[in-house]
Amino acid sequence: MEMRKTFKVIVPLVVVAILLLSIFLVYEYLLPPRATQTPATASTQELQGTSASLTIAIPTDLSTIDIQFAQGVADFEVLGKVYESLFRIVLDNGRLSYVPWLVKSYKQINETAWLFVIRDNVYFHNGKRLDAWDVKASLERSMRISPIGRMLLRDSSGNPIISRIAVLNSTAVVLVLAKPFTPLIENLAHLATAIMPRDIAEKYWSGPINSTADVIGTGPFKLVSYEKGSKAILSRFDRYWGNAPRISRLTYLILPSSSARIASILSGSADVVVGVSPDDVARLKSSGLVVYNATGVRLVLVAINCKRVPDPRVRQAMNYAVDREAIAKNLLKGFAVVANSVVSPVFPNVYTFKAYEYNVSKAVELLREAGFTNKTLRLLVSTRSPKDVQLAQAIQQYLVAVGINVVIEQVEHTAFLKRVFTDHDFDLAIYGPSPSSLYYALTYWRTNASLNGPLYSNPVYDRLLDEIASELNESRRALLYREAQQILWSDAPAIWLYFENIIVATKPNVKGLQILPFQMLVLDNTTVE
Amino acid sequence: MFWSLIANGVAKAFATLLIATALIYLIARLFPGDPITVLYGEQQPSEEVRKAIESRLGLDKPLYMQVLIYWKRIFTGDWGRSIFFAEPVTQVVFKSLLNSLKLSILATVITTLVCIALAYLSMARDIALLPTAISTLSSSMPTSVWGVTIMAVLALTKKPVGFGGIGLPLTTLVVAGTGVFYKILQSLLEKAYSEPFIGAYIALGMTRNRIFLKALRYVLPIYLTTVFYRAGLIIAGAMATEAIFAYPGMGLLLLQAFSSRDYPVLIGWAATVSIILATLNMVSDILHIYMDPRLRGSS
Repeated sequence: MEMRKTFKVIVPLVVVAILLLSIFLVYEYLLPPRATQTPATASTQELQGTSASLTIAIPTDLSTIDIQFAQGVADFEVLGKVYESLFRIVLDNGRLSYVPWLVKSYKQINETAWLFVIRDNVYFHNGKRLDAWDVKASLERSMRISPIGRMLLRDSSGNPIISRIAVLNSTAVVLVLAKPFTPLIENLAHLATAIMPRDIAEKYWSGPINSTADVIGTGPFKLVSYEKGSKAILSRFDRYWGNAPRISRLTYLILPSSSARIASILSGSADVVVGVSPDDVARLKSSGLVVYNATGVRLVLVAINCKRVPDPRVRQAMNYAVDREAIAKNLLKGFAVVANSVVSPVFPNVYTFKAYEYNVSKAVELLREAGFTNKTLRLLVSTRSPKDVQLAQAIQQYLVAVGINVVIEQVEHTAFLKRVFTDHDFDLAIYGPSPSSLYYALTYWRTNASLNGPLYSNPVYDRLLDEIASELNESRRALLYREAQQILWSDAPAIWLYFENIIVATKPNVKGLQILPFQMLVLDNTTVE
Repeated sequence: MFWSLIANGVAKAFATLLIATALIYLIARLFPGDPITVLYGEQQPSEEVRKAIESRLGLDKPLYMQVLIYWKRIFTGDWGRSIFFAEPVTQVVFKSLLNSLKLSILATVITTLVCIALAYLSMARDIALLPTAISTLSSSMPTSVWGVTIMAVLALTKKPVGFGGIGLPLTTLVVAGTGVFYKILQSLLEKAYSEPFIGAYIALGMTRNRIFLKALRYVLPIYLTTVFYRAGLIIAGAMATEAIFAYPGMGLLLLQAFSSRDYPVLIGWAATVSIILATLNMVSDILHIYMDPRLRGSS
């Protein structure tokens, strides 16, 4: 009797368990995967390799699916395959340049008017043909709500640079500027000014795009699906106006854990892995993978709150107190270039200065001169990157050695952004801007600029930026650029540390990959053999 | 007895729901940074844009009002939409919940079967070495370390890691859970074997297998209560395991919703988890009563 009761409980439990188990196992492993590639039917030499799929492991998730709200590296990496701007940033012999892209030709009519002729063979992913109205709506939306677009297309007092966009016919627009603005072309190359269909731009006139169905651009890939925190799948756009990519299906795996990323490529789940730590390079190389070590524009710095440390001598002292060479060599295993400029030298017109050499006695002397003794500074660091936390510890050691007490405060990333860029509640903070152009990089430091976390303010510097914007003569402009960089370098609103290299690992059969210094992969000629 | 238990459970669940949602919302709100910070990152929206977004999200009202509004919305079924992806919160949470349920049920069932098998080997077959070795190995590392270890093994043997699939998180949870639960089951069984009724069965000449079943039957209620507790935790989110293998369950959802300050999703998560945990608690109580005749008799 007892026994039967026992079985009455256990047997159904076990049966249900085994049933569930087998259902799940069949579902997960035995059924053919739903999203497999259809095998290529054509077998000609020419078509071989054209239906390749590529899986890329990236370290951060998208923060938005709206290209004009894009901020992070992942946003531009993924959405940058879907969208295009009027101009494109290309890397040529180690230098960046800006080439017409959705624009066939352009002409400066006078100081404040530019004519753009749009390509007439460009289609959006929804089949609609690109016309001048799309350009007008996209640029107006970007100026209106895009966080970066507002920076790029507005002047120091917040007024739009473009006062009117006149559509001449379906392929010609004239941008009428409020005043001369020389960095116009380079700013129109930024993806924050990417072109989307007019009806979508108007639908999302005052808020970010929030439906993947409305992610429609003119780029070589279209977005198939996006699963937050997990992956984004893109497929080749067959009516793309330019050279069709050789990759037909592109999968981005979002793997924040660095060991998961390494495992993904070692195990063969991913073909390309982005954001490789310098510590893992040797291991990947010894496993037969190809490791790219590309120049990056991300300038890692320790921002110094200029309201709390107003004396430039103190800020210079901190620059002398830190041994950048040692940090680049030991902490980053040589995968970094010590900063001798305020912006990466891959941009045109960047000027390289005499380095702040590591000099403890000079630092101590400057601090004594400025009367900055027995002070304690709080160093804010985001916990998003473990490297930044290690860097904070190194900086702490160096500053303690010249008599500045440093307390490290680790905060979660969103809180970090708020503390630094909204509340300006920090003494020192580690971060690294990745600009798209020299002018844009310099505007970070303009008085009251929104990226000016350290509240640096120098009227001479601000005036120089205005002059650069309106100086049409190229050589005179170069001189103004140089002067502005000189001021920033010696005013030292930050400890200028290093430019971080971009480390990407691929399987040996992935060929023709190009890496832009913004940590963006260019897949135009990429093949999987 | 039965109905009072249900009523008691529902009342508890209700209170937990209110407290949990309010608590998580307050914590998220008092933490520096809000969805607008996330949306604009290092840039700053103009004051007017910020105001507009704040009022659209209801962030301009006093904090207690925001909590009251969320409570009202939970009970009227309007859970709102994710701030960043417009998907209804119910849909977002449901998808993750389904994944977590799958993971939790499978992990619990398999772990239990493995533990019973091991206990059988050691108690009824006198093979103690293997179970001890397995349980010691299993409990030698915390779950997250097991996850990384399993991944490293796959990488070294060039087996594809199925990111996003259930296989690896499940393996990790089973491997890491077996040790602890085997030890619990084993010690419960040992205690049962020292009870006089087992001695009586032995005297009656029952086979070892039957005695094992008797003892198992005796300890099952207590064992299941502990297993259910862990099942609940997995449903709420096996955060580390999910994060390592990019498994889209409740743990990953919480991590993302918190880091992007997606308040409606956070609230939805807290409400769902507290409902689930309360229900599980109730179910395990009822199961306990159903399976333990001594408690049944007391009604």
